[in-house]
Amino acid sequence: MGLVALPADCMQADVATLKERLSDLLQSVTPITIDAAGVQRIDTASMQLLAAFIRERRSGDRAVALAQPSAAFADAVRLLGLNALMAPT
Amino acid sequence: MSLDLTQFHDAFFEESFEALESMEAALLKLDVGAPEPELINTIFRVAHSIKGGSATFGFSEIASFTHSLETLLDELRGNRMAVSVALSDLLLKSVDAMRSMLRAVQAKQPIDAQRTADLQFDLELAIANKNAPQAPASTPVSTPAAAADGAPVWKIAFRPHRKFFASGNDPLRMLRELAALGSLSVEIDAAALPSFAELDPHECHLAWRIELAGDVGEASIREVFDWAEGDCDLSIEHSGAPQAAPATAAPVTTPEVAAVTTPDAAPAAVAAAAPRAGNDGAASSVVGGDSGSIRVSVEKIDELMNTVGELVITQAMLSQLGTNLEGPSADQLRSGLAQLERNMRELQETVMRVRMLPISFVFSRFPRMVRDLAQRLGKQIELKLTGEQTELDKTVLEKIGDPLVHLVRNSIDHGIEKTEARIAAGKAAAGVVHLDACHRGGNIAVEVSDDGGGLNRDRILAKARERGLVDANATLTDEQIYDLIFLPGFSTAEQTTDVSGRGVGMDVVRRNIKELGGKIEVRTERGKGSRFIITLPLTLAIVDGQSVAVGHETYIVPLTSIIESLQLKPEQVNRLSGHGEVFAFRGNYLPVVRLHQIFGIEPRTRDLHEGLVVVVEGEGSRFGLFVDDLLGQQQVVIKSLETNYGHVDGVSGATILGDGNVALILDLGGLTRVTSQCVAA
Repeated sequence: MGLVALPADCMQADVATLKERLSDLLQSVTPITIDAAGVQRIDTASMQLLAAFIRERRSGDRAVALAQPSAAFADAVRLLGLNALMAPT
Repeated sequence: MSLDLTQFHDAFFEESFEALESMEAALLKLDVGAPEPELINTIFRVAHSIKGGSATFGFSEIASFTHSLETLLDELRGNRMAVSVALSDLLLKSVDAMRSMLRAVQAKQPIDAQRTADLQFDLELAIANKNAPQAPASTPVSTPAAAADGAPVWKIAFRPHRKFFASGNDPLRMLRELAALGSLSVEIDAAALPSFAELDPHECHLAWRIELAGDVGEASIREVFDWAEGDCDLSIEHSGAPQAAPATAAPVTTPEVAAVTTPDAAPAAVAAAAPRAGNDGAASSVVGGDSGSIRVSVEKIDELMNTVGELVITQAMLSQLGTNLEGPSADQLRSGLAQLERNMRELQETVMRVRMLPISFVFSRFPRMVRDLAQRLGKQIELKLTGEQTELDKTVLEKIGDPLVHLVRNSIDHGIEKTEARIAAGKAAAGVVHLDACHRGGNIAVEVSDDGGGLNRDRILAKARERGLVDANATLTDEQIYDLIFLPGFSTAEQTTDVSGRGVGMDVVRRNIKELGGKIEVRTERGKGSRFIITLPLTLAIVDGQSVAVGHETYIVPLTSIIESLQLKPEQVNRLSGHGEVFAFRGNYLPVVRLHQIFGIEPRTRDLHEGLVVVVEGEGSRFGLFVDDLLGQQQVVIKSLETNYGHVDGVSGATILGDGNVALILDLGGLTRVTSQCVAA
């Protein structure tokens, strides 16, 4: 099982790095867990990237789950209207 | 189409500096523990607009820094962080940092990157260390939100352009701001989102349809998208009633609002009836404070001032002509000219008032300074500001700042005693520093007073003797002794601190004030405090002058510099080798300066007792100007000699007299220098 722990700061400056980390896992057949417990700040760019990642995993029937979203993360999901996309299947 | 943004830079800087001042003022008012939400909103808005502006103009360092600041303020605004003393210090430091960054960018100088980075790190640290509650309950909204029963509902379609992130904007932040306005229901449109591999993470591919319910005006909503204008497609529509059935309880329902719950049938009527004026007004009134004023460049005002000056001269010429006319219509002409003169004076005063600004522009920096200084010196200081609305000329205003800062620093550092000493003396623990401004005659009086220890007469005298500033056995009045503190190189602080007391103080203060055509006096009472009284002219564009005649020429002597005019008797004059001619005046010997000699003109008389001597003071020294005659006192409009001709020693400017002739305005400080050269040669 693959685990990605999101950093405390998920901001635009580091979004390219995050994309690289996620790309490696995109095609992985093992289920992926995105650990969002440590996220203190996140912006739309990072959320958009995660949304693209999750959507693509799921469309290929590859499991992906969000774990322990922090308050900041949950807040961002709600405000951006990403509940449906990010919700566990 | 490419737009040259540099043309907007000046306005941006000016507005940002003003905004920073209001941010600073709001920060100083912020109560630790129980901050007023409106103050935090004001502070937030400043950071927000500076961030937006600097991102737009490509000042990336400022944008990045203010972004962190904004994030922190957003936490404060959402009650997810508490205001502490340390935090308010940090925020004040951020104001300083932003100010110096803006100044650097404005002057096209490099930004102090280390300082900024350190402070930004502190800001981020503060955000990271906040004691955030775990429950998401603290977030301002619950989405999907319920529309309040009957509250107006806004439908917002928000589609950011791809480059949206690059301009420093973040839709999440905007949504959060919207959420603070009412209850929010957000639907995302991710149809344009490319596959993961093709996604450029720096581009925005998402769009939103938003429903906002609550007592919100369109202006407040537009304000959220202020800085995104041009970077997104945005439509804001008012829809009559909430469409979705309420899922959770809505926060506000006022009886008046209930009336609006009409079906979609008459949306226009609903929009008109929606009781948003009150809230809307409240929201926008804090934004601009826009009370029907316009921003005009100083250049334009100076041009206007100049033209009015020319008009005054023309009018004076006409009046002079009019007096010599005779004939049936001469009287009529004269009464017309008198009318013209009255109108001219009014016009002149009105134009001068345009250049006037309230002294609060200068005073506003003191609360912060006093707070910092008091903290550093471990003293308790209460700052009192009065007469802040007193207006004076912008040029005077700009130049009075530094001397005032010096005086206030001195008061806090040397004047106010340490808390223990104050209590021992039976005074309140907190010392009071009072800044006051008022109109006094044709002048402005600015006073800096404190209730500290007062000046120490004996110590000043001892120090002055030690430094050889006064003769060991000279007897001086109290006033003369207190006046000694304005001499160059005088400082009595036993320990010089980095706050004040480097001995470059008061003489510079006095010189600066003199340069403005003003004067400074000190009144003090031992143990009770000191008062420094600065008297300044209302404007620098016009001077009250005494015209004097030398040969066929007329010169203007600024009235404020004149002490007395007298006719010398031959026995009053002595010749001193190396010093030229001197005469006795109030117990001192003053040199005689012959104006005709300095300017190389043929005078009516060379005999001192046939002409007049005007005793004047310039740059601290007194001397007698020898002239043929005194002509009259008048207000003259100053024309710059530098701009129209070139610098001449001993002359500060020129003016055009009623008869069309040019008269030079004497610069007495400059004259002293010219004279000493003449004597030396």
